[in-house]
Amino acid sequence: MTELLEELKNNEKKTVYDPLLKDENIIIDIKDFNLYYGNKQALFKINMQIPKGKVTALIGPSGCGKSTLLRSINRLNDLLDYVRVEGDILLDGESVYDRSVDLSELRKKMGMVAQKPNPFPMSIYDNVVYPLKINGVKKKSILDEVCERSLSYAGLWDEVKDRLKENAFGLSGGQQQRLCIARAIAPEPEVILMDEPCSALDPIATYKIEELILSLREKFTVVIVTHNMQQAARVSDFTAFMYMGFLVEYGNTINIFKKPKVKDTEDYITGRFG
Amino acid sequence: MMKKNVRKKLADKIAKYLITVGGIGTILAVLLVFLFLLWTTIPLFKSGEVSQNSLAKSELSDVRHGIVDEYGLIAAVFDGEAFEIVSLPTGDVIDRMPLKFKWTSFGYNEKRNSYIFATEDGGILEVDFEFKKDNINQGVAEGKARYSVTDGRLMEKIGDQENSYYAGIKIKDLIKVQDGKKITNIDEIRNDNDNFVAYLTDDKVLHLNEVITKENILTGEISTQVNESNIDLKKVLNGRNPDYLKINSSKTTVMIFFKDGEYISIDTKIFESPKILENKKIFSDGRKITYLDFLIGRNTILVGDDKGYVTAWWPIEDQLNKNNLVFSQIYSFYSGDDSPVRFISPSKRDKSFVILNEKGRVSMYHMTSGKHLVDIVSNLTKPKIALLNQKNNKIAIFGNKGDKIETYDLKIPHPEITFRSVFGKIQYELTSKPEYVWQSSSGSDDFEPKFSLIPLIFGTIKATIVAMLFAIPVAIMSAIYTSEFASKKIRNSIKSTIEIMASLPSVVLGFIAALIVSPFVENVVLATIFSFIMIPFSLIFMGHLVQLLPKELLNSMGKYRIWIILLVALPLGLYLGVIISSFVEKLLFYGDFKYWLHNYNYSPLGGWALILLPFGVGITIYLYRRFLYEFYESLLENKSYHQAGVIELVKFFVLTICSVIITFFVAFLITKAGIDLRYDLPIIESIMNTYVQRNALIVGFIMGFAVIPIIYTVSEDALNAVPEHLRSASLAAGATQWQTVVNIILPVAMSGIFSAIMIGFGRAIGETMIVLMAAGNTPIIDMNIFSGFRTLSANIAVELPEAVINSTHYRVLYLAALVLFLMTFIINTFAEMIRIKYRKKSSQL
Ligand SMILES: Nc1ncnc2c1ncn2[C@@H]1O[C@H](COP(=O)(O)OP(=O)(O)O)[C@@H](O)[C@H]1O
Ligand SMILES: [Mg+2]
Repeated sequence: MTELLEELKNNEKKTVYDPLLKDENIIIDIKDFNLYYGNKQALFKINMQIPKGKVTALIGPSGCGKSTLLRSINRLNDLLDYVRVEGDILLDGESVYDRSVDLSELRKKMGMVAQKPNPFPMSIYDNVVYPLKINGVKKKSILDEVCERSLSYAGLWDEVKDRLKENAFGLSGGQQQRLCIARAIAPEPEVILMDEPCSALDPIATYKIEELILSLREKFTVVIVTHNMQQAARVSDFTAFMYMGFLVEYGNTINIFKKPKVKDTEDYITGRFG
Repeated sequence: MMKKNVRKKLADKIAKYLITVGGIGTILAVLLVFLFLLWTTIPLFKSGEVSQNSLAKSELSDVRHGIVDEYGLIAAVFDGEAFEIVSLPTGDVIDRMPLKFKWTSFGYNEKRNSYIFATEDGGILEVDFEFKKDNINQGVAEGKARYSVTDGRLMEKIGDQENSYYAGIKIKDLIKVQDGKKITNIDEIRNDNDNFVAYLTDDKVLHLNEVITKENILTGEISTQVNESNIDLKKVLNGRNPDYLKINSSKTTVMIFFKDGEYISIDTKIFESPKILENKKIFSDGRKITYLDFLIGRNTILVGDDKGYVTAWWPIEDQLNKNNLVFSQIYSFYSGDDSPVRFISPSKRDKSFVILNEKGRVSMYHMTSGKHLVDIVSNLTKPKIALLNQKNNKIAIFGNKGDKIETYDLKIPHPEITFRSVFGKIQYELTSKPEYVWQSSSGSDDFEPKFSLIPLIFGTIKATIVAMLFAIPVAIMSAIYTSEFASKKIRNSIKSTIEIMASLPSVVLGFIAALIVSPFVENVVLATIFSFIMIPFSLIFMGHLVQLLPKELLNSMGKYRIWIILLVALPLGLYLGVIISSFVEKLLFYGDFKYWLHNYNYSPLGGWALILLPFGVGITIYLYRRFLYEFYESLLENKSYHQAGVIELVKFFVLTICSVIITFFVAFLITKAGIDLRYDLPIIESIMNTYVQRNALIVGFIMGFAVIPIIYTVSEDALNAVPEHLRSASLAAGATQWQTVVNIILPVAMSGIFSAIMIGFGRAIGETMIVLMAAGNTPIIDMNIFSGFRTLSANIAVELPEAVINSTHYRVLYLAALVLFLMTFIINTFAEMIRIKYRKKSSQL
């Protein structure tokens, strides 16, 4: 471990990339990205290109910086005033960290689903159309349509269509999470960021969410953090393995799981990791 | 290991025990305070207690009138021929003084223990009694008192202590009526240096005599000056002899009554030329007067009638013509039976009186409170008079010749207090309508304390509302700012500033309010009011201006944006306030706002406009949202960021002008309708009137400062308690911080903020020093925002030190404390209930 840190500090350690990535259409381009929580560096020189229209999984032991990296993409880390970043992240070739960027505009392009279902304390309907409402959309017909579309997409429509006006807290955990996904896709973002979306759910609910993620791939780019290997293998096209704030190996999911190039990755995937 | 475990368990137990004790202790302490307050106030509402003291055989002849001494031990009774000094406990006649003259009429002066007699030969003389008590043997007064009569004195033995009681009589000639006319009725008012005597002679002429005694300080020579005037009443009296003649306390009216209920009043305001004022039947149902006397103070006439009622009368303003006073019945009391009233004995202490009816029932009432204090049925076969002593603790009942004398001990601690007299409207003596009045003391003797808590409760609520109107927006805005927008550094500095604010003693705030702010504001009233309007205006204006800046610049200003806006907007607001106010003062307030406030010749338009401005703004926003919103949205379509900013700014100006126009339109309509907010609003009468230096606006403003910290702290906690994941979910959904606050944070924190407001309310209600120093402390009910008031707490602070322990005043102050306690208790409980409910709800999130 200390060895790795040394190597990192001295810039000797290099990420191992899968050559297949070269052919992909890139939507998010993370360039030499460092992030500090106060004095503590949480991300080290991340270079990572996320392909459009695919599911990319971030795996790694807990505390390795997966969430931090994910939240860096939609600049949610900005909320903390002791966070400092270096390097850049580009979305569609435009810098996310430029000073003139309008944060709400930016975040509208990226829906986010959190670890724990976090519906707002309002009705199911209002939850789903919240991103549109704050965007100034007032027409009921549009809102109704978006609500139905998003909920259908999230596979929740049939379950809740008769109780749209009821409080979202009345839903089960899995339903709440699918509601959050519906809310995330309602404004038709380009990217959906998911931070361990199934960690608080039971296997059946997890299964449903995984199905949903697979179907999302057709329309959106999905970046998903998970510490469940099987899940990563099941839903993702690409997988990035992170360790101690460092991107160790990144490539096609099949390759990462079948024949990882780095020993650490292999250890982690096979569960031989501390 | 074992040992450690045991220790831990022990510590746990001790902690648990201590916490339990502490918790129960707190509840107990609050309960005790409550019980103590209750226990001190409950005696206020008790009615009187009576116990028979003695029943003594007497040798008196038929008594007609009498006086009882202070202690209720000896009495001077008059049977028409002689005065007899009677020992009440034993029934013995100690002394007897036959009158050496033939009288035709007599009057009684309750204040002086004296009678005035008119004699057959045209003389007028005064008979004064002086009751004395000598202490013969000092010693411990223990056990039951024993009484005996020796040497014309009543001897009292209580244990070792010995006292003697006796009475002295003085007879003095006052005036001699010349031509030897017979006097049929007489009354007198006597002060230290002057007598006012009114008498009716048998030729039906009413004579007024003013005898003024002057002592030359240098020579010691005493000179008397007699003024006389008269009025011929032949026409109105029509040959009849009146039954009662009374002079009122201010010597402005002489009242004449007939048993059949006819009333004639003579106005003697101008001594030289008295004139007839009223002549009417006072009862419309044919009741007959059977007894009539003044209540203490000679303002209220108590009329006993043959139906068993005693009615209380005084002149009140005529409904049609306020300058006309009409003698009217105000209160009515039932003697307990439908039998004629035989005698009325007014108290020498307060506004209570004792009624004796023909059936021998003795009832005591307090006039203004209406409290029924005593109800006794006499054992005498034919009771004739019932006399109350000076201390209101004894009633002596005398009967026919050969009858016994009955005395009763009374305990009437608080006759003037009923639920209605503290919380309801009471018509006090000589006033024309029932009112809420707090006036606990005065210089004069026969003053009646007025204990309505309503003006104080009103003052408390008035102060609280004004304070909250100022404190709520400021405190909540700051809480939102620090919890949602400010960086850690700024948050900490704001928090510590507010904590310093909280630690400012309210005396200091009161001092600042009374000695710095009030005198300052007094000179710039309108500018101050306009600053409060213009500062928010210029804030919004600056917000719009900032939008015109290039977007990149705006984004890079980041968190400093608000400070930059504030830095420009505050001075701008003040400046605009001053400029606009001086302009408006000339235009609408005739150059002087404070003069305009109480000069009703000036049009109320400006005042209406000022008050209605918030409504004007509200209506404008509503109309805009309702009718113009879509149009406005369509304007913004396909416009660049910069163009949109310009359109927004134009919209802001147009709406501002619309608000002003709508406000003035409504103000104009109301003014045209002839309603003036300075004096004739329904129910609340006025919102703006004469400017008093220490007024509700100033107190509200300063008290606002006192409650801001608590509202701020509690609502900031509530805001911080909103789970972080909701905040980031909203931000991640593309909401701006402000949208997140409005749509997510505030609704979730609402109940917490609400309870913060309620706690602030509780604090403001109990606040004492600031109001004490800056509110002027006039206990009036007046909506005028420029007038002072007195709150419950300030009242307690001012008056409790001077209230005699266990007196009515003292206990009413405790009642005020109890009311205050209940007000804050209810509000705080309400706040706490909401907080608990909200805690349960937020644990779901
Ligand atoms: N808000 C924060 N403040 C300070 N340190 C943080 C914060 N969030 C995460 N960290 C630190 O950054 C590192 C990465 O955390 P995180 O991104 O949450 O890891 P993961 O999601 O992979 O479990 C951890 O060491 C964690 O302690
Ligand atoms: Mg994480």
